Formats: sequence, structure tokens, C-alpha cells
Amino acid sequence: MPEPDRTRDDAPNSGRVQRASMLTQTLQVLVIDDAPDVRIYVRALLRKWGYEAVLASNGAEGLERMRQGGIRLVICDWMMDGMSGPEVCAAIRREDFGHYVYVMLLTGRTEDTDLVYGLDSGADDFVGKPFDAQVLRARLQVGVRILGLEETLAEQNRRLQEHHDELDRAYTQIQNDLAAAARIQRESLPVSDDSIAPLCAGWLFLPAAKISGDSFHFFPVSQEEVGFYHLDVSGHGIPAALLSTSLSRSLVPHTGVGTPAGDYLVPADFLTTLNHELCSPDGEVTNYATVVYGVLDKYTGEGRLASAGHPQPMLLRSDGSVESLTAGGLPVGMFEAAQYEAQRFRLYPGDRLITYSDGITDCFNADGQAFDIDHFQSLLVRHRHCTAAEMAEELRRSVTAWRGETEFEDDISVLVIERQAD
Amino acid sequence: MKLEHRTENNVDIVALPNRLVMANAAEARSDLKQVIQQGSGRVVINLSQTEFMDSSGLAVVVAGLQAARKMNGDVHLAHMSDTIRALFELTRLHTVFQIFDDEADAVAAFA
Repeated sequence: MPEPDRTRDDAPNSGRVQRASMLTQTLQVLVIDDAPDVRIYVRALLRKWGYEAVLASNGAEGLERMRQGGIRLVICDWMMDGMSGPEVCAAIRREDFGHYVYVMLLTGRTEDTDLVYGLDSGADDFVGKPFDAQVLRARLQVGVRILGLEETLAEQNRRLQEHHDELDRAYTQIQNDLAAAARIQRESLPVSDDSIAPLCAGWLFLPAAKISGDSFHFFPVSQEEVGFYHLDVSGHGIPAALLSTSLSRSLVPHTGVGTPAGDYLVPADFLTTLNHELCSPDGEVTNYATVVYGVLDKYTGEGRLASAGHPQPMLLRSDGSVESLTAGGLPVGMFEAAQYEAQRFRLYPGDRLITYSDGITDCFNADGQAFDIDHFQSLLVRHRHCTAAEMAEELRRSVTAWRGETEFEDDISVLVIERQAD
Repeated sequence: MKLEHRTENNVDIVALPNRLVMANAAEARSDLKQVIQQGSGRVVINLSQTEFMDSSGLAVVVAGLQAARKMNGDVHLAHMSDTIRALFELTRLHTVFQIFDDEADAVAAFA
């Protein structure tokens, strides 16, 4: 066996071969052949065509050289001592060089079965021996083209991966922002019913998409009276939640123990003011909301409320009967001229006032059946001996089971205010 | 989506899609406004194909009404399903629209 010829051809590039644009550096071609004369002849040709030749006298040595990197094109003899050409091919395919390696087998064989064997072992092309230099040159160019395609593809994949990573980061960011928005929104909901004692309250809040267009609250408006509202901003998701959150912040009085002024005591005026604020100056509906606002005397149970396109509040009497309150006026934010009227009601000891958004009655199960108002009322009646908080929990359990695995299509919220039995 | 639209006796008759929800509301709103503003302001919205409408869809119909009224016209609704009627009644919007069982009656009411 001759000493392996490891001579590198350091003077490449005759300039006569047009390289694929992807190859910024001279392409290294590894020639594996046990015949020194063939190695030297091929090296001369490669040098002439502008490639850099790397020589190896057997398969093992060639593979070892490849592991050092930089080799993307291999010309390998078929019949060699040690590993045969197809065995070298198979070995190349088993290893991961981090890029594709284009392998051409030099062979005197032309039998179809040999070609199949060579292809199966992983060869890309064949050049018959004795070879015509021009055929070898043309075949090399095919290899270079294919490597160029592979590189383009790898580049595209890399860019796609970059875009994918960018989208991934943006998505994570949005998810984090939504979670933060949901926290802010929950902060604008009640945390306890201490402020309205001796009344009690329970509530249910299940947003459709993490954040919700629904909101509700209760707060003292005078020594005796508490105010409460239930709001459903049209649409859902981020825009509805933004408006809902900003509205709920403006609706809850921030005067502390003091008495909030005027509108808080007069539900119809409260809605009229809200309507003017939401109606857009150009007279076209942009954001609208359905809302109930009312006040309730903590000690006598006397109350009055006004509704703007909102599902009718219900009175659940201690004897299990249910009364629906006024249907009210148009949603706020649609028509500047909309008018509202308050309806009086009275909670007797053991009665509850229930306000809700249409998300619960329009909640569909897997069979396409709505939760609907009758079902809702029957649950209220069945759980009338529970506290307001327990009742809300029962409703949460029922509606969640009703919906099953799928996310809620619309925000679900229910507020139960209870005048405790004596 | 392009809304189905034809004109009869100088009344624009527009059909709304099967589902009018947040996802297609913006497009439906701009199409509807365009039809109304290029017409006489007298509009019949045919809801016979519309099975479901959410709060965003409701805003489309109200925006149509507002556009028509700016032109001293009106919007008449026809062929409203029970589900959509319930939505209009819940939001009290049945008090601001004239609602007809039949499209021909809705058109004739403009005469």
C-alpha cells in the first residue's frame, strides 16, 4: 500500500468553472482511491477546475479526514482494499457531518444490480472508469448544484426557524401580557362582601379568553344603601376587557367612606350618564355595553335598579319562587337619546337578587344545547338554602360540567346578593 | 365576504351571513355601510340565512340603522329567527327597529 497522499492542493481556482454562489470558499473535494496514479490525475483535474483536492488512499482514512470537517463532495473508487466504495457510502450516511455529503462512485461496473447496490448504499452518482474528464467535470457540477440547493434549503429552514422563534417569543409575550391583564381585571372585581354587611354576596366569573368583557361590583353609596352593577361589554377578548376594566374602575366610587354624589343614588341617571360617555361623537356605535345598575338598602331590603339591554335580574324568594325584574332600556353606547327608568323591588329576609350576563344562558354543551334560563333558574331554586357564595360555587360547577372540555365562547358572570334570613 | 345585495323599488335589500360574529363583524359592517351609503337610505335586512348573531353582530345591524337614519332613511328587518328575536328583545333593540315576518312586507312598508 502506498503512503496515503494527504497533499492538499493549495492553488485552486482556475476561474474557468463557475461556482454555485453558495460556495464562498473553494469547495474541497475528497478523492478516495487506492491507486496513486488515479488520485494524482483526479487531483490535477480538480485543481484545473478550481476545486481544492483532498486525497485519501482508503475508506477508513477518507472517513477520518471527513470527521475533521469541510468535506461536502466525495469521489470514491468502488473497488478498494479494505472498505469498498459502497461500504464507504454507507458509512458516510450513518454519520452526521452537520450537512449533506454528495458522493460519486468511480466504477468500471455498469450492471444494473451494481448501480442499485451503490444507490442503496447511499451514492448520489456514478462515473464510469476509465472516465472522460469532461463527464467527470459535468457530474461534479451536478453535485455542486445539488449541494447549492441543499444549502439554500438549509438557509430557508434557518430563516423559518428564526421566524418561528420570533413568533414563539411574541406569543409568549402576549400570553404573559394577557395573564397580567387578567390579574388587573380580577383586581377590579369584588374580593369580599364585608363592605355591604349585613348583606352577603357570592359571585361567579369565568372569562372566555382569560380576560373578559364582563364585570360587576358592589359598594356602599350611603350609610344605608349599597350600589351594585353588572356590565357586559360587547365583543370579548382584549378590546372588550380593556373597556370593561376601565369602565369598572370609573364605576366604582373611590371616595372611601364618604357618600358618592348624585348619580350613584339614582340608577336611571347613572345609566344616562354612562350612555353619554360611551356614545361616540360621530353617532356610530363603536363600543356598547349592557348593564344593570341598582341601589339596595342594607337594612330594609328596598331597592331600585335600571337596566340597559342587560338580561333581566331575578329575585329568588326564600320560598323558592323566582321573579324577573324589568327589561329596561337600550344598551349604553348605541343611541345618545336612549332613556332609562328605574324599577323598585324589595328583598325580604332570605331573598336573593341575581344579576348575570348572557354568557351563562348561551353556554352550549357538546350536543349544542344551551344552558338556558330555565335550567339556570331551576339550579337557583334547588340551591336556595345555600349561602350566596355556595350558590355561586354550585353554578360554577354546573356550568363548567355543562361546557365540558372546550373553552367558554362568551364570558360568564353571575352576582348573587343576599339579604340573610332573620 | 360580500353581502348579498339587490335593489327593489329603490329599497336596498341586503342578506346577512349565516353567522354574524366578532370574526366577520368588521367586514360585514363596512360592506353594509357601503351598500347603504350608495343607495337611498331605505334598507331591508333579510335575516333568513342568519342563524346566530353575537353582540358584535348586533352592533353591525345598529350601525346600519344609524347610517340609514343619517340619510333620513330606515332599516327594516325581515325573516328574523326566534333566537335572534330573543337577542333583540333582551337588548330592547326590537323597540328601535321595524321588524317584519316577510321581506315583501318590509319593502312595501317604505312605500
